[in-house]
Amino acid sequence: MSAAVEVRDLTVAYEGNIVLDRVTFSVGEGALVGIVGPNGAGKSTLLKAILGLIPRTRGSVQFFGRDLDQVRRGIAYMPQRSDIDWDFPITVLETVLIGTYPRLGWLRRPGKREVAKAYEALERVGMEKYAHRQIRRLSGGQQQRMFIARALAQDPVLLFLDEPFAGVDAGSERTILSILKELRDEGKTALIIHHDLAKVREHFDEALLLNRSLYGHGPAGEMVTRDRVAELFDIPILQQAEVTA
Amino acid sequence: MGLAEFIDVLLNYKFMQHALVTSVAVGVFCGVAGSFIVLRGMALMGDAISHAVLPGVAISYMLGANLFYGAVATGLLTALGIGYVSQNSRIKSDSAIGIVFSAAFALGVLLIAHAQSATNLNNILFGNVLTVREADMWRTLGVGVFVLLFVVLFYKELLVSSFDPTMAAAYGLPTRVIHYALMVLLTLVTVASLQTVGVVLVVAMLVTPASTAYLLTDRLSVMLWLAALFGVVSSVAGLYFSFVYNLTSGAVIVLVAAVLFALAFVFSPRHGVLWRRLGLNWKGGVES
Repeated sequence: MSAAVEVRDLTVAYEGNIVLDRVTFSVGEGALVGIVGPNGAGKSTLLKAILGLIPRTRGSVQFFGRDLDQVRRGIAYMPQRSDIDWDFPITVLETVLIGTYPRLGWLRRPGKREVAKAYEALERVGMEKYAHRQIRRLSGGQQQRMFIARALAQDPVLLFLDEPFAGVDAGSERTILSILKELRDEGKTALIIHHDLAKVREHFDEALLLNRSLYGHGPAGEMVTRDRVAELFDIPILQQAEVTA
Repeated sequence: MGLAEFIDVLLNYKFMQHALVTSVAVGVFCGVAGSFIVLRGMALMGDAISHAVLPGVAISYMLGANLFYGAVATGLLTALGIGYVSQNSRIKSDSAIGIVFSAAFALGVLLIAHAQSATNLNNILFGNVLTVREADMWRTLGVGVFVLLFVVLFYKELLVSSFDPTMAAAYGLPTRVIHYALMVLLTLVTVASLQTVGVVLVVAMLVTPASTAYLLTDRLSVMLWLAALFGVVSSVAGLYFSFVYNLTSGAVIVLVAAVLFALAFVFSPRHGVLWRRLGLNWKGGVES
């Protein structure tokens, strides 16, 4: 059986600077994979390069043994908070409805079925009563739950989430985590950039340690240890509170 | 002279009917196309493309060809030139826009002067809506239908590529093609607005009514309708004042649009400065 995501020798360079250096790994079906690393480690670049959003200098990526173009409609992508124009004239429901666009294709408009699906996704994240609100007028946690709902509305087989837990309250974090675990149990695979190492250790199946090149990949419990993390972040003595190995 | 005479002329003279129909069409398609320009942060690019249409118009006159071909050609060349300069040097894109479009515009000024017999530079630059002939009216209506059809057919794609271009690209939308399609649309809109507002001020018709609408609603579909409405009010007011007081139509249109914007800027229920100054909250804030 082929891996859900297979990345081989992936290298990205901007104007001669190498941002990602020969990254190779593969992830199976039904896994929550945390991507951790210091600022500027190339985490967002890795997600974008895998999805072909920025040009690869070298390397290849396959999904279930196939090329990106054959699977891209089933890949949900959640952007970083800072990439979104929160003043855009759009409501929560309309934003979630965008999740149905990839499978609609050109020219077809979302109809009753798509709206029902969007509502269903909103209910799953507990956001149905905010359906007609403009997206700026939500809390940080509600905004992230809305984007999780958009991903759900896409019926994805793969999810690429860029910092879904940034600026999120404890309640929203629990909701998002439990949905991700449900998706995992249905056999879906998610690659998730996360800044909180303890949470990755506690809730995720695998961890990718990244700092321009790959420092390690394996079960989250084995990867996120004091020594490995100290090496990854290039700090000699790690503060006690951060990770207890 | 006043409203009564304006209506009398409107009912009895073809030239005024053509001018009115053209003004309404320009208001509608500038508002609709302009909404996407505003939301995509392309106002400066819109200004550049509209100016860059000038040399194309001049060359078309000289060759006796249809205005649209020349205008679309130089408009697109400018868009590509701006992209090329900013991507292949350390020049930032706003400087690249300034360099390329002013050069194209300057070339246009010289070419138009050369082709003087065919047309009047002042009318092209600032508009003279009373010179609209029947053929011009049909051409403007054609552009209007094309713009509206484009927006209706590709509403979904325009929405997602404006709001979340990364997701749009991730699921396979050709976001660059959409970008250049909008550039083509912009050149068509500019040429079709030539006689009403003119090349120099058309950016105001693209940006101002759409921005006014943006201050009044939180939904894209409503914004498009409102922008079209404000565009029509501005351009019809421009026609009226230019006839009654013999003023330059483009300048009047732009000032009316600006007054509408100022009103929305101060009094908009949700986004107006006034309520914020008074410390009032119209309805709802961030709910936790």
